[in-house]
Amino acid sequence: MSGPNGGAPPVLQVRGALKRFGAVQALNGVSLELRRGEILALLGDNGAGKSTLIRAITGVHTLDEGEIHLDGERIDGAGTKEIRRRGIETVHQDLALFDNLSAVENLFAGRELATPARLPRLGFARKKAMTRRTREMIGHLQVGLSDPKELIGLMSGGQRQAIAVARAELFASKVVLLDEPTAALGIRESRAVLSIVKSLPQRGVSVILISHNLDHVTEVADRAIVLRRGAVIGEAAPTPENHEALVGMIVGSVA
Amino acid sequence: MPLRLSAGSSSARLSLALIKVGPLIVLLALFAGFTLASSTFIQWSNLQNLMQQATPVALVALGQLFVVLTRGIDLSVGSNVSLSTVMGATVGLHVSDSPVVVILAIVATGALVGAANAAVIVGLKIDNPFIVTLASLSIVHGLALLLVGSGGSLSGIPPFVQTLAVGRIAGVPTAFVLTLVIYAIAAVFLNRTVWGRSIYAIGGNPSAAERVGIPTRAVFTSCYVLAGASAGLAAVCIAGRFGSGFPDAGAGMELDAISAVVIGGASFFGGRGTASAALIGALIIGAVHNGLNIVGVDPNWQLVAIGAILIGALGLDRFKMRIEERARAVKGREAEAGRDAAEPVATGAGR
Repeated sequence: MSGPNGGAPPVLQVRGALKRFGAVQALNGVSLELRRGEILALLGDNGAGKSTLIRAITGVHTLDEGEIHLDGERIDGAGTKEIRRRGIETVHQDLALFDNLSAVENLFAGRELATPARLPRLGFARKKAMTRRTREMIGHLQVGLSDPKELIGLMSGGQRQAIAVARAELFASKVVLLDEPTAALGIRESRAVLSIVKSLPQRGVSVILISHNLDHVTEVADRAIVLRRGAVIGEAAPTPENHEALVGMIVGSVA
Repeated sequence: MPLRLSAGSSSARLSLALIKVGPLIVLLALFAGFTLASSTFIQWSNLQNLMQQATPVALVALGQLFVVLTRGIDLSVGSNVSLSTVMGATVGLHVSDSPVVVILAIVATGALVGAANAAVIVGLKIDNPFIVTLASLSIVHGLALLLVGSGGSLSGIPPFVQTLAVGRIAGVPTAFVLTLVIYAIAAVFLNRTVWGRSIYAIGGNPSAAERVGIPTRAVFTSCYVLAGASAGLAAVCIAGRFGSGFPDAGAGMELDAISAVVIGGASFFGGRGTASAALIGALIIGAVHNGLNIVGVDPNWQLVAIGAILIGALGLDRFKMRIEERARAVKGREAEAGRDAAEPVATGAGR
């Protein structure tokens, strides 16, 4: 995948983000740009501010200072619901899945297709339409999912992760944030999930990926930025040659 | 990608399916056993009796199901039944002897108690409703006693309500038939409507439900109100049967309600359980009460028997979770073993 067009305006922009929790300066002036169609890796040690930054982008935290723009429009302070409505979806590390429900119901939970459409909460769930849509969605996931009505609780880690990513893909019109999508997976299932992640830009969304696994970052990301103590301290193309330099920035032995 | 059911997950499915029909097998076994022990049990007049007795239990069990699906519990339903009968009698004596008004008063009282429970649980953001509904068990029972005063019971339930409670359609108790209709509606609500499915989602993963935009507070509230309203419906049956309202009308019914739901296979871990299973649970309880009575066992053994079945149901629930966990682990292992080991591990060569 060649680098995205550098001249196009970024889809997501964070400018001078500051966030303090009591005595802890979680974000200390973070600025970054996510280009359209890009997979940007966000690296950093535990406590570097990655999760805080993700939560600020998704509206869980409000910034003390700084701004976040989506397609040129300011979104910080808009609240989680509004930000999701504007096209940013998150795949949380805990996946936020419902073990007791089917793949279909997991995909559409909270955003069911309903009839009558004017009563989205009180109406009847349009199970057939949602099942059809789910079948289309999971058709390209290479994790051995065939039955959209299968219970999530009976699925493997990779299948669960794939469903969570598919849900984000289904509802994100602009950006998907992925928090450690391969952390709990074996080699083969990691590869399957990474190939899904890799295909997201072709479906029109840009991606921010948090991962501790540099091999995985190398495999899918176009660019990597490193956070330390709440600030961006470096950026590099995630190539095997740059591994050492990236690790140095993450642990703080360089820069 | 070839998709075959692995041996691991298909045996898990088989076990889960067996556990699912377990309560029905228990019910049939009870019927067979009691029939063998006493020829009276299977006689139509006794079955009419059984249906009559099981009706209020089935109603409070349905209400309890909504709450248990959200990982909750409502201990106040017994007291709520009592207060609702008393309120109905009070309205019948002092306000109007119209059966419609009295029935509305009874059901509304039940729903209001449920709403009060919900207001405290949702309003104070209490994760475990056990103590809240224990408190309301006490408060509501106290109110029922205060309303009745020293008399012990209040007449004032109109004759039509009594006819409704003990009458029959083609030999089947009317209240039982109406209860089946209510169960059918509840099943459609739980399975087919977005709101119903939201109840399951909340039970499965409350924080995820919040994150995907389900109005969790409203859904919680609706479940406690439905539990209260169904206690009100049970109160209509009991007030009608006795022609009066009295402060012990629903004594101990919370035990029957919770037992029926759990025996039917609903999980206290939330999100699992169906209307039909709650109905089967209620019929099991009804059969145990009625059957042991017919066979001539000391009635106190009924409590022991129901407690024992309840423990068995809890064990089965735990077992069910274990099977699911194992099936998941097996699937993960199979997925990892599924591809030839020669495949290079992520090295960046793909770029």
